[in-house]
Amino acid sequence: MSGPDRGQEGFEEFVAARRPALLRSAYLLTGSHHDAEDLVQTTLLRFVPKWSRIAAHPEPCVRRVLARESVTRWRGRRWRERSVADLPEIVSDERPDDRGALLAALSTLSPRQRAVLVLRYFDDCTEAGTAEALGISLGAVKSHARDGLARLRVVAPGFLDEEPVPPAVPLGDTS
Amino acid sequence: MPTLQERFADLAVDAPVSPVAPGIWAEGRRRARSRRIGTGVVGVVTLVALFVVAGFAVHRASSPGYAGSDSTPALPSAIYHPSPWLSGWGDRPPGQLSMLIPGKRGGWPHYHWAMVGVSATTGAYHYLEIPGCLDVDGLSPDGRHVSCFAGFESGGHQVINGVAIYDTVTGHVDRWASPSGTLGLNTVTWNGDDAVAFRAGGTSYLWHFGQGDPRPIPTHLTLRVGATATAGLYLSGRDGFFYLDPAHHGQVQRVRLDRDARTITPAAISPSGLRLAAVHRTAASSTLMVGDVAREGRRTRLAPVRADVHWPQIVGWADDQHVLVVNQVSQLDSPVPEDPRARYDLDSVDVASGEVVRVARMSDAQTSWGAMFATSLLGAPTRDFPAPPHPINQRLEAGLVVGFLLLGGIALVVWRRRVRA
Repeated sequence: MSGPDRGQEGFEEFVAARRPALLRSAYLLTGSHHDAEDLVQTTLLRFVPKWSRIAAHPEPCVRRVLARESVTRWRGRRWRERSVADLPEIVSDERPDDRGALLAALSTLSPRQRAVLVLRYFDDCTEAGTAEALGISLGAVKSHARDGLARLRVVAPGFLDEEPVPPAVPLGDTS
Repeated sequence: MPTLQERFADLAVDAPVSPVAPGIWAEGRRRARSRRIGTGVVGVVTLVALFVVAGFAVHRASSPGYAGSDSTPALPSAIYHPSPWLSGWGDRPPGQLSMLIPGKRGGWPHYHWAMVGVSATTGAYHYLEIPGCLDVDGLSPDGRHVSCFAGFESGGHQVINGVAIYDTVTGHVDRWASPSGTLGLNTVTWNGDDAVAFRAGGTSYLWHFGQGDPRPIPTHLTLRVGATATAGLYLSGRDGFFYLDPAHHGQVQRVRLDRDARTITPAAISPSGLRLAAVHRTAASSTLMVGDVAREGRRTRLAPVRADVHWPQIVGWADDQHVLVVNQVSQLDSPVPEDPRARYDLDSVDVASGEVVRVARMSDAQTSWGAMFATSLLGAPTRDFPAPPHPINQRLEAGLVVGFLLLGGIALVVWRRRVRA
């Protein structure tokens, strides 16, 4: 029985090294542990047959597919899940912490607005990098970012008192 | 206050920290294989479906073709309703024709009336496509030329202003535009195999189209009500007909009747010029009548032929003894005109004995009553030609192709998403 080939070794090394970072992005994109793991798994599986082509610089490609897949999946689930205009009241006696409040606020954004904000303010992508990653225009990125931030200010007042400073690091430089 | 970047970083701390699922590489290979296999299967199924549609379309559009060795011109022994989706003759001259059959030709936006030319030597059916021809009018006695109305389209309307003659052997078209811009549509008749007679404006013409422009003639051409073997019959007053005899340089020959000529049309004079057949039609019946042509001012007397024919329409004379009619073979005890369940035959009627012999099997009323024949072939034996093809509706064909492509595309997308999930 032969051992794993070099492609498989490289892929498994990449997965071992980068999966935690991908899971963090995926968690922000989906808001759910299960969905984040599923999104990362699906994304990685898609690269197995074409690994030899991207093995030199896999990160940008993987992150691009991760972001697009998060939007595409939402479209596929749209008919199954009903969105509501207002957030349901939290019935727990516990005061929601900042993380829970941010997750709830993010869930009110459209998938594309959410993806733009995560790419811009977590993955530190430029506007051009975000547009390239999501396959949309630069204007659409600006528009989604503006609308997403405005929405966050409405549903989570106090979170964004100051204008966020947009980063300027190209896609793939996230550690 | 933390920035959004810091809040995101803080929230990301909650991200799952799970071990890598074992066998992810093998699973990825397996899914890629499934995608490839599924894509291949969908592609093959779609291709097979397209080939089936194409094969069916080609099969329906193909005809075995006449394989006999006899190339003398003849009428077919069976006359079929032409498919709307038959091809046209296009730029190919069809050669000598035995008959013309009207048909509703299919197009992408709508159907339109057109004329099918039936080859006298192969029996092939194709729509005539004559440049500059707005409507086909008739077939020369020998079947070599087709006369049609020439003109142009203006604002969605057809403006007929002349005559065109199409040579079915060479494909050449002779055109003549009336100086008055008008044409008496019911005055155009063949005169021999190489001329047509017609009236344009107030002037009547005889046009030997191989010899230059039409020549004005002193005779006032009236309404076309029948034909001799080689010329058109025109109404002459209330009690007679006349024709321009091509055998005597277009000399006018008059036939006077012992009754109102307007009640016994259409009429036909035999090739010898000695006998006249006509149909006396009332609301309740239609009777075939025959008489010997009387000359020198005497009146021709017509007598009914005791033959078993229903709602006959005269096609012409095969010889002085036999007249050919389209006969409605009704399934009803009491035949009615244009019985929708009737079939039609081209029958030869012996005017002396009343014996009826089928010459050719015909189809529906539209095909049978609207057909025009090369009258020189009426006395010749018919021939068994293959039936024309019945191509499928091009809209249906295109719809099936698009439908299968769409189905294939949808199946492909669904399958690839399913494997990816």
